[in-house]
Parts: sequence; structure tokens; C-alpha cells
Amino acid sequence: MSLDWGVISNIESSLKDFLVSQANTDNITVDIDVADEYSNDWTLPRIVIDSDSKQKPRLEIGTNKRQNSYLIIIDIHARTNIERINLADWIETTINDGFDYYDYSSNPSNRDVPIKSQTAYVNFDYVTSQKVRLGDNVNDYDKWRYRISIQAWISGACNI
Amino acid sequence: MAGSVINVTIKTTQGFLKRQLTKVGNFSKKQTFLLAEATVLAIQQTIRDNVRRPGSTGRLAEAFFAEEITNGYGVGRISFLNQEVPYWRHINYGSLAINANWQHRVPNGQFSPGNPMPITGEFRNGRWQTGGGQYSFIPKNPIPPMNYIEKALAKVFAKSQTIIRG
Repeated sequence: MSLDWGVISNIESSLKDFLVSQANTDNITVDIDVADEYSNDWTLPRIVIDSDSKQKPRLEIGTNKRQNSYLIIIDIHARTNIERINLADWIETTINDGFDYYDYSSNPSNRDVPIKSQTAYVNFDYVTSQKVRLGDNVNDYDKWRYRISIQAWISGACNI
Repeated sequence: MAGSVINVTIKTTQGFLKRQLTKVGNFSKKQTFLLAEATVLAIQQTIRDNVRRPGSTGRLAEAFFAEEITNGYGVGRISFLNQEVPYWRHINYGSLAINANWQHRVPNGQFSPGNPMPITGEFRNGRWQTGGGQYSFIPKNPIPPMNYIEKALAKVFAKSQTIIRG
């Protein structure tokens, strides 16, 4: 088992790659990151993807198979109110039918571009979708935030 | 059968519809109450599980409770949260800082328990207590998101069928 890539990092990067590709197709200029903390060199608008936690209930009594689902947080940091709600709307429309799940692995010849192969599909339900109001006197990164959280699960592959 | 119309007449006792509506209303209210109670437990547990520093007062967790609203039960009254634990959003969503000018000196105080001085090695060991202390510092790191609302909702959604079955 590789410790470089796992199910959670695969979901995060699959979602990122999907959104980057769709942004190019739809001619939308936005930076898209997988990150769990702020960075001082962010440019806006920016979409930040982060996995938070997972649920692992038993599939049924008497089996150790799990019904795994993953809480994924998508934070939008925009420059205006209109931009944040339009970006949120674009994300919701774009991911509505789910997205491809890729297995990533390290690429010895180019560390920045991992090898990936599509092995399954990611489905999801919404948990929340709302503006983040942190008050009036906040930093530019936080001024026009929107958060979408989804509960995702993988279909079409075993042992995930 | 396209275009056909079937009329169905059901004869019931007097007041049947009203009684049924009352039953459905009571049933629905009971279910939303169970979900609200489960949500409160999930939020409180999630917050307690994710406390990073010792000496938590528990105020944030205790500020979430179930209460009756127009169509059932709700959890987390915004006006109450804003008044009693105004930092509830920052803890959940994380932020670069509370207020735009975040690289400001915090009010005089001390870390407790542990070494009261604000030195790097002690930052995870104590909680900053204002009033009485002689130290101050300029925070360097943003507030990390705890995501306790989303975590709790995800837990409740996963168990909702069991909760409703009651």
C-alpha cells in the first residue's frame, strides 16, 4: 500500500481535477486548491477543497464490510457577493451528477504530475450550502465566503 | 386508460380526516424532536472531541439545544449563539482571523495550565486567560476550521433512519 495516495486524497484530487477541467471548459477563471489551511499568497477568487471526516457504519449486521462515506468541504473565497453565489451555483451545477474517481500514484519522472487512472465514480449528497458570514470587519479572504459540504461515497469499485 | 377518470368515494366516520391530520402532525413533531435531540448530542460531542486546549468551559457545546419552532423542532438559535458564544462561526468555519486586522496583540493574560508565558513550545498546552496575566503576543496562525456543524450533520444523516424508527 502506498502512503502517498489513499482514498481520501484520491477523492480530493479527483474533485479538484474535475472542477479545473470544467472551469476551463466553461471559461471560468478561478484558482482551485486542495488545502486545509490558509496561505498568505492566495489570489481570489479561489475554491478550496478539504476532506474532513468519514463515516464507517457496517453495511449490515454480521459483516465487516463498511458503508464508507466522506465529508468533503468546499470553501469558496470570492471577491464580491455576486461572485461567491455564482461560483457556488456553478459548482453545484457542475458536480450535480457526481464525478470520476481516480486512483493516483507517484510519477517518478515528474513528481508534480501524478499518474492517475479512473477506477470508480463518486456520488454525493449535500450536507450544507450557504454563505459564511463572519461579520463586517474581516480579512479579504473571509469577506465573501461560501461553503458547500457534501457527503460523498464511491461506487463502481470494491474495497473502497 | 389514457383519458379515463375514476372516482373513488371513501366513507368514513365523522371527523376522520381531522383525526388523521392530527395524528400525522403529532407523529411528524415527534420525529423532528428525535432528530433535533440527536443533532444536539452530535454537535456537543463533536465540539468536545475537537477541543484543542485544556480547560474548556464547555460554553460553545452547551449553547446548542433543541427548541420548538413553528413546524417542529430546531437546533442552534442564531440570535442566542451570536449573543452567548459570538465566536461560534469562527470556530466552525475557521478564518484568517477574528477581525480584519488579525495580526494584533491579544489582551494581556497568561496561558493556563502549564507555562504561563506565550512561547512556541507551550502553545498547545494551555488556554489563554485574560485578566491578571502580564503577557501578550501577536498570533501568527489563522483559526483552523473545526467544521463541527457539518461533522454533526453528517453523523445524524448517517443514522437518521435508525433515529426516526426510534
